[in-house]
Formats: sequence, C-alpha cells, structure tokens
Amino acid sequence: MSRTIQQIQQDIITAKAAAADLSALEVLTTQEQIITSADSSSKVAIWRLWVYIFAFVLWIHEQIVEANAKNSRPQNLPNFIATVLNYYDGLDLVWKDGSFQYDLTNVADAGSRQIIARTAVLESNDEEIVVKVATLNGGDLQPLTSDQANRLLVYLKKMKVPGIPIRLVNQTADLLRINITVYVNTLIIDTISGNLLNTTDVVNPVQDAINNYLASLSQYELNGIFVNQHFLDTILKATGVELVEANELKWKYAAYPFQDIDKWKVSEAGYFKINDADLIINYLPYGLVNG
Amino acid sequence: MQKLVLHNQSLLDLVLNHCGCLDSLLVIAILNGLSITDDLVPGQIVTIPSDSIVDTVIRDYYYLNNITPAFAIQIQNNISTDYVFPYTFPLSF
Repeated sequence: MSRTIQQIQQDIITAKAAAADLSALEVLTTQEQIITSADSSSKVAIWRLWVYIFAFVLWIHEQIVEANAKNSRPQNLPNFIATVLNYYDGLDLVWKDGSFQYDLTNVADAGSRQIIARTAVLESNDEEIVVKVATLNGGDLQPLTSDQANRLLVYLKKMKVPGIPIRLVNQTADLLRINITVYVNTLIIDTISGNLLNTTDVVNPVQDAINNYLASLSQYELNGIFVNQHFLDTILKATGVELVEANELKWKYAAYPFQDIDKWKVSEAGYFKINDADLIINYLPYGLVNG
Repeated sequence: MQKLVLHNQSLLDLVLNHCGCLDSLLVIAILNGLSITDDLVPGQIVTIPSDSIVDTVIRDYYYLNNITPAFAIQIQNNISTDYVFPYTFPLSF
C-alpha cells in the first residue's frame, strides 16, 4: 500500500528532525556563511516547499510502482489456479501488455463461457504440472467434453511457463461403494427408511450427512481427500445416530475394479461420486442403554 | 463531473484548480487515459470523479478569487535557430 503525500511529508520531516547534520537546517560546513533564513520554522519556508515537492514526486513514484505490482502475476500455484478458472471457452487470446489476455469487449455471454467450475493444480513426481478440472451441470460436477478439454489444453500451454510439461486430467468422478451399519435412536429415526419421525417432511439425516461430506470434498476446489475416519465422524454427528460401523468402504477409478480405501483416498479425477446402488445403509436400534 | 481545459493548463493545473490538491491526480489521469505529463489541448474535456479527494479551503479560495492555475509550457521544438536547451539529447549537435 503506497503512502499518501502527507505521510511521505511527515516521514521526511521526522527524518530531518532526527538527522544531526540538518538540525535547524543549519548550513552543512563551517566555512559557509550562515544563512539565517535557512532554519525558518515558517509553514511556508522554502525548505518546506522542497519537502512537499520531494514528497509529491515520491508519491507519484509509489503509485506507479503499486499499479505495476498489481499487474504483475508471478507464476505460482494460486495464480495458476486463477488462470485455469479464468478460461473462456471459444474465445481467442490476444497478446497485450506483455501477456496473453482475453478481449472481452463486445462479448455478451462471457459469463457462460467460463466453464471451469472447479480445479486443482498439482505437481507430479515427473516434474509436470497436473491440472484437474470439472464443470458444473445442474449442480453436479462432471468432465468437460473432449473438444472443450482440447481447447483448454491449448489455452494452458499458452499461459504456462515455457519448458514445463502440463497434463490435463478431465475424467468422470471416482466412484465410491459404501456399506455401513448405523445404530440409531429408535425414538427419533425409523429403522426401515432411516427417516426422521418427528417431522412430516422426508428427512434422512444419514443420507444428508453423506451427501454433505462428499460435496464438501469438492466445494471450492478439486482433489479433496476422502478420509475414512472423517467420513464416519460426520455420520456420527447426524441427528439420532448413536454409533456407526463401516462394513465396506471402496473406491474405483475409470475402468478399474473397486478397491478398499486404506485410511484415506485422494481421488484421481479430483472428485467423488456415489451411485444409489452402491450406498447401503443398515439401520439397527441402539441397544446399549438400559431401559 | 466534466471540466474544460483552459489555455496553458497542464493536468496538474486542472486538478489543482478543481480539487485544491493533487491527491487524486493519478486516479483522474488513469480514468481519462492520460499521462500526468501529457500536453492538454484547450477545450479538451477531462472527467473528474465525484469521489475525488478535495481540499475545499484551497479550491474555494481559487474559485472566490477567480484564480486559475495555468502554468503549462508548450515546448517549441521546431525553433532550431534559438540557442537554447533543446529538451532532447541528440547524439550530436
């Protein structure tokens, strides 16, 4: 944040007061004739005008430096994530002010062309940048079409630092298979449907907790980590749930078969999804309390 | 608000004239697509945003006493016969 003219003036005057050589603005060498007006304390003294002139020039300089600092975008991960999100599908890049930019003048549908809803930018062991992307369709995350992905890759290759390979991951969601046994307070929850009994609306606390947990993994950016313990903790916090036990927590990617999740799993596509057929919740009454 | 540039007024003069201080100089320059040292043409319109920083004491003093800062010096580069500093640094004179 640049200083105001007043702040710079005050800094100069403070520095002047602290400098012994400039005390009372005396002449600098003993050979010089003493100029009585040089140490004037007048508000409109000549030396004060020079302080203002220097302060003004410094202020202009600081403003320009600040404006340029805002324009410069060093290539670090947060800036590259912003670059990926700033992709406009179907628009060409123009070279302007030393970087590739979009010319959005006369583009009425610019908002709908920003198709990248979530992304994650990682560095692989092969020293390449891995970009995972997903777009939103009716609230659900899904991959881009192959044509869109090809265009995005051309865009990213133009925007990246030369010499660094880039790999785009644009895949359907990793699938989960979950089989859990939930011990519930039977006064509150129906053990057949799992719905709350104290409301006429259909509210299934366990189902809602699972959906919320999976959504939270890709709420802002991709590559959320499915942690078995966190998943079970989330269910345990749902209304009426007393105990939860995992019978099966499995995961699959692309055409590979389902495998057990050992403690946690980073999704390959960047986000998880669970099909209704793969979610089995067994409700049992919680019977550890007498009476 | 929009202000008219008068004869011999630089951007600094104009901002001082209508704001009483120069704190909004760069904002006004960027808004109007000008550099702060650009030569302005009399009659040119310069937009001064309503939220500019204003020193009302100085501005009102200028208005009440009909003082208009206009100190721009138009450099006459085409007068080659005058032996004055040419405001350029040619490789040879």
